[in-house]
Amino acid sequence: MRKDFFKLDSRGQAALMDSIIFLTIVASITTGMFFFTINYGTQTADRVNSFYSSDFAVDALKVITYINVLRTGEDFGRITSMGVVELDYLLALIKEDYADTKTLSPETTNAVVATLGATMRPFDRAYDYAFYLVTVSEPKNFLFVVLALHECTSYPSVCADPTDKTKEIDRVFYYCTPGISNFLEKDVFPRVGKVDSGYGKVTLSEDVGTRSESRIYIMGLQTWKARNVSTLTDLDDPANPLTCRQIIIPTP
Amino acid sequence: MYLKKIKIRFGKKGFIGPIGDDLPSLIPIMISLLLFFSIFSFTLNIYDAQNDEIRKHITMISVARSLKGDSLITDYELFNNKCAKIKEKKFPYSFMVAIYPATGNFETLTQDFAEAGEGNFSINFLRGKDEFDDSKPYFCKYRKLGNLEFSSKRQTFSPLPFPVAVQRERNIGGEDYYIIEPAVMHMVVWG
Repeated sequence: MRKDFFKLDSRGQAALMDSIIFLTIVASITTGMFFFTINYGTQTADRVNSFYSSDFAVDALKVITYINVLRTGEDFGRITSMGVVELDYLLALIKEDYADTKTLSPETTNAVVATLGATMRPFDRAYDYAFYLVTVSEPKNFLFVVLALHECTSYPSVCADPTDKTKEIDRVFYYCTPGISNFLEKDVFPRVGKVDSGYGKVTLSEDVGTRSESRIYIMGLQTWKARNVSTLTDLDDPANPLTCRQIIIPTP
Repeated sequence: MYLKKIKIRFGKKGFIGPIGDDLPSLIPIMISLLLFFSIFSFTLNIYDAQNDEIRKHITMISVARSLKGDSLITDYELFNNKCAKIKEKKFPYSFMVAIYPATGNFETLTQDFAEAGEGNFSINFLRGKDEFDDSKPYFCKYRKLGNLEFSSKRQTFSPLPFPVAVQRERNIGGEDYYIIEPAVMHMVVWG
């Protein structure tokens, strides 16, 4: 009988306890749901973005190989010569030069940079990139590397001041013939964040005596979000082992 | 005997009434339900919004892949035929695609698309020649049945550029040439 009375008196408290437990359960479920919601779709969105990015690099590489160049290396918009002009493809120029001297002539070098500049112009503000030809077989030898970077072109004192908003950041092209085989992997890619890549295979032939010898090269285009990388400035310094020279292409 | 027991229960102190007795426990229950349903609706909204964005993005990539093919557009007719084929697929979203020359002006992209949706094509669009030799812009539009025009949805605008090569007829030094030039395909998806 006494037990019954005790139960009757505690009924309100028990209900309160039950509801607090219910609140605790709901709170933990909703917390889980909240964190699920916050993270929902990010992985899928990242995956879809990476589809786009890899498509972008491959498309850009295709466009570089498709478009016509002038054999003089001039820009179409700035042709000074009148009459018939000689049109070709970039790869044809590269193959011819390789067969002759295993290096690129100044005209072909200009054509490579002009082609890159023209293809990537709409994305110039956002991206930096490297375009290169490298042997498949080890040790890897670069035929050339073109690095398109954003660099401060104001006075050194202005560039050195991180708070100075007046500094001018311009697109700079470097044409390099590095002796170091892994400099992109070692000195560039770890410092620039996410890198999107497009690759193609190219066979280049050279005459050795009476026969022709072929070598397979990888043609690569790697793009990343433009950023200031301290190891990638003033590459045309003669002391730099990358042996680069700056190439200026006129803006249209 | 049973009635007597009940009587004793009612006589005990602390009893307010059938609801009054449970009032303190109702407050956490109400808070729990409120919390649950607000987080639930928040989750549903985010879920829908995220799915919508991802589907739009996938539609964009899918349409772009079909339109640009191998990233080489040899003439206007080819582009136009691909556009007509894509429209038959009945995508869940509306979209507009335009090709700009690589040297083009992209500052007025939103405005260009909004006006092109109403039939006023921007001079910034790359132009080609159709079968009757008329100059036509490289432009493709699909509007899902029931969707509003793009201009009214400008806030959700998220354009994506795709590099392409386009063959064009150009006059250089007094001579006409067919030249493959770099261009950029811009695209908007809404709905």
